[in-house]
Amino acid sequence: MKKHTHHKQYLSPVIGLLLYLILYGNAHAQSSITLTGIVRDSEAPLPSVSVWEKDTNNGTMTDENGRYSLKIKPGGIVTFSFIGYKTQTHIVSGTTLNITLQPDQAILDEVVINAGYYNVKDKERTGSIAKVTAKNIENKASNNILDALQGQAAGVQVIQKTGLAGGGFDIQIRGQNSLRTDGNMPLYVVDGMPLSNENIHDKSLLSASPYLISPLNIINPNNIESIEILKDADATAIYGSRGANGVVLITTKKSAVDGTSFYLNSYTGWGKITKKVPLMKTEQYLEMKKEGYLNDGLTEYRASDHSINGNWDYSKYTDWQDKLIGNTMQFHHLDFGMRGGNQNTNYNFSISQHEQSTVFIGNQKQNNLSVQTGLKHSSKNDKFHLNLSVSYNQSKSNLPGTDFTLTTYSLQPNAPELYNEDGTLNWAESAWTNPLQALEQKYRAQNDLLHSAMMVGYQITNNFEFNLHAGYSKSNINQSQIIPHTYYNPSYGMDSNSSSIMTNKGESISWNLEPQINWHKNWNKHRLSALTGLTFLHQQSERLGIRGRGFSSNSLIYNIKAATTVSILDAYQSQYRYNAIFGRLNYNYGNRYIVNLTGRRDGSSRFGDNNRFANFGSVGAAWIFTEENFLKNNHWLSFGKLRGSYGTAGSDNIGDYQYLNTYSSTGNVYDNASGLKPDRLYNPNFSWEKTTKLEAALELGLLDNRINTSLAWYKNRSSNQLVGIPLPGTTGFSSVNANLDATVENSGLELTLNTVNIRKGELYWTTGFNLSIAKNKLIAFPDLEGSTYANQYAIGQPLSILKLYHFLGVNPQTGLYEFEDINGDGKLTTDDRTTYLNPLPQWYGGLQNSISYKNWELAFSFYFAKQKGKNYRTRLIPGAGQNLTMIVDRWQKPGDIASVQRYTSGSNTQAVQAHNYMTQSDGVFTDASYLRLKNIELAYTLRIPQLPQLQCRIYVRAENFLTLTSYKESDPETQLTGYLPPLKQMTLGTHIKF
Amino acid sequence: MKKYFILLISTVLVYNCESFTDINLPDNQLTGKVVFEDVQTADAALTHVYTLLFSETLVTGNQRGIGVLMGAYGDEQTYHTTEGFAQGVFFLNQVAPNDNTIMTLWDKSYHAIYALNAIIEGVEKSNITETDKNKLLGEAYFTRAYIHYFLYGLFDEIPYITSTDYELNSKTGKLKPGELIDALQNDLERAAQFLKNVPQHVLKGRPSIDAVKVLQARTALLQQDWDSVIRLTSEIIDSNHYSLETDLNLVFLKESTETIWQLMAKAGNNAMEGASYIFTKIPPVQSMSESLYNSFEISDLRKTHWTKTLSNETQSFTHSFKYKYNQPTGTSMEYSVQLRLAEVYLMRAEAYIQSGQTDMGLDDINMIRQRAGLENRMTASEQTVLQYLIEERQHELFSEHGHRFFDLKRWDKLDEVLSNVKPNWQTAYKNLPLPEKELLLNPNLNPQNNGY
Repeated sequence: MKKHTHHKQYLSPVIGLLLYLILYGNAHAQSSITLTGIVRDSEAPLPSVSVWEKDTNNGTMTDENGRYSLKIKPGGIVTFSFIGYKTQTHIVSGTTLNITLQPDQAILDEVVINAGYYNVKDKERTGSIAKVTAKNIENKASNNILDALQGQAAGVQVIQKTGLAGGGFDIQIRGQNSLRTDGNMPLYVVDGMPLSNENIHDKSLLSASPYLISPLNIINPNNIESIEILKDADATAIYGSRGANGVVLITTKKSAVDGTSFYLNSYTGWGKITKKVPLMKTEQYLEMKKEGYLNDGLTEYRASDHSINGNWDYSKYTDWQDKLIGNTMQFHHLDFGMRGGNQNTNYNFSISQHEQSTVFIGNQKQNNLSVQTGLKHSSKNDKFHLNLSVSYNQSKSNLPGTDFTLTTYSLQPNAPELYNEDGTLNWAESAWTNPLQALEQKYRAQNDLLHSAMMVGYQITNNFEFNLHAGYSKSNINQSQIIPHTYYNPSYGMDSNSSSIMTNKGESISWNLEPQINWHKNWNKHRLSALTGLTFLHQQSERLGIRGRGFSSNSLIYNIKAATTVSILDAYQSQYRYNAIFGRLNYNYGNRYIVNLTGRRDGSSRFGDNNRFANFGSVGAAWIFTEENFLKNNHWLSFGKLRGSYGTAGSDNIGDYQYLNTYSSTGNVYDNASGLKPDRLYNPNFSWEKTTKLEAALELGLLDNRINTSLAWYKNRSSNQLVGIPLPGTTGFSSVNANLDATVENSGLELTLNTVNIRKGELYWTTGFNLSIAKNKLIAFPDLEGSTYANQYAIGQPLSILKLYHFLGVNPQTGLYEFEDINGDGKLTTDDRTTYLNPLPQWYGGLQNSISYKNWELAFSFYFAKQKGKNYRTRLIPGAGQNLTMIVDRWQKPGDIASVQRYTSGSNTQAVQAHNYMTQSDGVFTDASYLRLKNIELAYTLRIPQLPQLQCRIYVRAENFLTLTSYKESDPETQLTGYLPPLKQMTLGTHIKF
Repeated sequence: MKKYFILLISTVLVYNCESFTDINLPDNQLTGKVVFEDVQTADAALTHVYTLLFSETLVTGNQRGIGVLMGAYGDEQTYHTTEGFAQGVFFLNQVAPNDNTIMTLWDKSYHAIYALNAIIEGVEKSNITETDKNKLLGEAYFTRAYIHYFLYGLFDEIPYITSTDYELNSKTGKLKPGELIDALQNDLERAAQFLKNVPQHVLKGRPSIDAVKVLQARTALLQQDWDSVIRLTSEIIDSNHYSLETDLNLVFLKESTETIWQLMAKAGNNAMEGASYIFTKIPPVQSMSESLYNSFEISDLRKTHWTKTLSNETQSFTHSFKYKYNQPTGTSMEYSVQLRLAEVYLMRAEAYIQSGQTDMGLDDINMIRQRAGLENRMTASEQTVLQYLIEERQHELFSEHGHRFFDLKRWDKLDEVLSNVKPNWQTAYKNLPLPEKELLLNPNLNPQNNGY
């Protein structure tokens, strides 16, 4: 890059504009001129650059040599834009205007990171913050923010638990800190307003989803400008007691342009499951069953074994996966938006609709509607700022109450037809439970989220600024599930008197108020800035679950008044209040040495009087060594920074009122009085969970920042574990909340690499890569042996370990699985479960590529993980039920060396027992590492030289189309959990901008 | 300017911070202390336990209760479809330590015990009247014993929980049978003290002093303390508070004169046993076992009144028909009978026979037989009379809270009877396995019961 252009990089377009006004403001007027020039980047002329007169249809494009010519009024404003480069705006003063465009991504300096309570230049940040921009979120078809994050940022582990629309994602930032498996959720903040994590759903109504539905699921990813993930102490300590598990800051799109523009984005797509489980065909299945009986010395088939006792057709075969989960999922998305305004005030508005079906049999859909508006205003003197964003998201679904995936695993291949000839469900003389009964059990849900955030700021003096962040959020859920009598086998003789409905209505309201003062002072090479603020957060939620049973007709089932008996299943109310003071002090010397101090004192209503308040803080520092004289003119090292941080963050993510001994009404009447039940075992003394975080990182920019890389090392220790300590049932409850003096350590390495591989003429190719190697270890646990965790954890091992029997193989003589009897007492007991296995990924990461050439763009991203998963031996007892084809390598006669034990019809108790041990042994684990082409997009942008503002982008996308793995059983991500595997999807769409 | 803002912020801070995070309890919750200072709410805490027993666990009449489960585990019920039914493994005698039904039964039973212990601790410290205290404590002590009694029957050695202290209870060990009986007797004696002057509930929806005596008698039977059995049962019989219904169809109605204690259903609902046993179409999932059905004498009215058979051309199936209602009715008709006079007669009969007074025993047996329209048994050898008793208990108490199974277990006759009808039966299966999760969480409960 040429030196003389350097200073321009740092200038925002506005300042550039001002500069030109000053420099060329005296230019004399003419009626119309022809402006000519060459547009180039630092290396070569750029063809196909859009050149147009602002707010008009007057425009053109550069030719192969980067030349353009445009008729324009003197003093008019001309804009140069090209994908991959920063747009430039100039005021016309002469007849020649040569432009050098700056590549967009390589300008590290300009990238500003949102750190929550403050913004920081990426170059100058002291904390560990990963940023994912709109570009990497938008080009996904999944319509889910969490899915879009998978593989995009180091240290952020996203696991998809089901391929169902709106279904569950598990997200962890830098591993499991808390012993409570549900206590590792990060804090989500949308435009400065935290998303409530209050649970207002009734999970039991939608068993097809392994997780509670996060409100995050219904936010339209296309409205997201950027997502910042705060990881280390420097970044999270200012979030105090909510920062231990990381903070995910979501910023919605704001308008920032002059004039008015519109866009219309529409796509449609199709999806199928990535992989079928290889299940037995009828012939193979019958052979297995017969061999099982034969092995057991039984000559007569059990009356209940319809598949082989003659009741069912031996030649019939149904591929139940095709039948039940083999449909093609379809989705349609329509997005319309407009934005506009002037220098002081601008707005944006968008509305989108997304409809998605499932791969299940039947007609289920999820429908999302999302409306988003934003308003930005600043006073003429630029002292007053207002920023308002309001979004309303609605999701309606009638997803199935049951996930058919598990059903497909166990249905016999020669099981009867689903329907009778007359279209009714076939119950085959009660010989089976028709799986389609689940379709009778209809689930409906409507989920609404209103989320609004406002920021007003006033520049009091040159050094002082006052801000007020305020937010209001309201989330509603309305769920119902009916079980009409038609759900049951008609031979039970039920009628609508047995029909029932369960409903759940939930509401969660929260508001947040955060006044804040910012101050800064510069002198000589010193820059000092500080901020302090307060937080007032209020959340309240309630839930009402009702069951109505017994209707005179099923047509009245949604009318709860028509029910013979109505019972209240759940009436829950809770309140949460949170209060804090926070601050930050940042000192910067010559852009070379930076020290950052942050802290927070906060109080939460989730703790008893004695333990309500706690302090958190951190120190971070950075040294930008490329600013030192000895490196300043280094031609290959353009940027280098060493940074480190140390501090604490906490977690109060434990639910409300847990420190109180309370009784609540059961709603069950006995002897004319309603009962009162004890809510929990209580412990009034528990307090915060603290995580101490340590991090060191090196960030480098090489060859004009064409290669940017960072390597971060961290070690976090969480202590004072706030856990629901699992208790034996003899205590009356399954757990009690208490602080356990145990320490969990998460350490790891995170590598990111971003390169501009080619930037030549119209060819632009960038690559992003990230790799996370994470280690989780239980460091200390007082009296682990005697504790209730004795059989779950081991010192020095990850929290996620499983203690398993060690599988020795199939005994060639007996044909049974054999396991190591560690203590040699001749019995297999829990003491023999000494093999440790961690089913979580050892390392994972992502690789993104983006290539553009002329009007073409190609982007693709990979996700990979090194992990272990459950294999075919984990399924049903070999011989007793539908099984994976892999089990045919079984023992048949003495002397056989096989991987699967002898078949049994189920009456060989030794074989049944051996299989039970197997499911708790290392014999069911196999390598399930995989590399997946998560996403690939090819786009063509149609530009019409006469209409330079009109851009029509046509794209085709494919998701999960290629997976490389040695795991044969199923999809390596969902494995054999029985939840729907991720879908491979194909999308076609257009994005029109004008 | 700067000072002004700092002042503003610190004012807000001082003014608000400490109190901002004080929150009120939601309207539907009370603290434990408040609950026991009022007899109404303290009583509501107790009725919660009765509701648990009525509809959720252990002695509940639904499919999760021991009536159904142990009927299937023993020789009373046959399952025609076992797949997909939690009771299937009970019928097949293949209950594994990680079986969910076992775990739930255990957890919920001990949860009820916790609730009772909280009542006992709360009421003892409370300022309510002595009369109210006596009633609440008496019922709580009795019910605590009642639950432990069944858990002992199912699992043999178990912990006897008498406090709410979770640290203690999470490390508790098992008691040997002798110690368990002592603990039971201890609680029952206290219950008897507290309840001796408490009047019987109009609908017998609360355990009374007589209920305590029945359970004391059962405990004495386990100890083969025949004298105590005779004394306790005679006290109940001679009190004339109860009489055998002459019409078998009236025995399980909520006004039955022979009921000593029953768990009440919600207004309009009925005992859950009806819905558990009755089927209206065949083939059913489960029905009465052939061995039980065929063992009735032809003229036994219990066969015609307490069972019902549905047939088609090829098959016929029978269900227990003690409880007649499988649906809600306008007004409740049946409650779940826990203790009734017929059993008291049969307990006394057994004690008489075992202590050599066979004729007295025969008299009691014949009381029951006469009501069933059967001829009197004639005097015979002790061995034969004992056999009469076994048959009588089978026919009188079938499908009620696993009486049959616990009887066979008490008489050490499980192997003899069940090995003929249950192909998977093994001697060790006389005890259910302790829930695996419990052993993992509390190693003091080791070892697992034999055979698992």
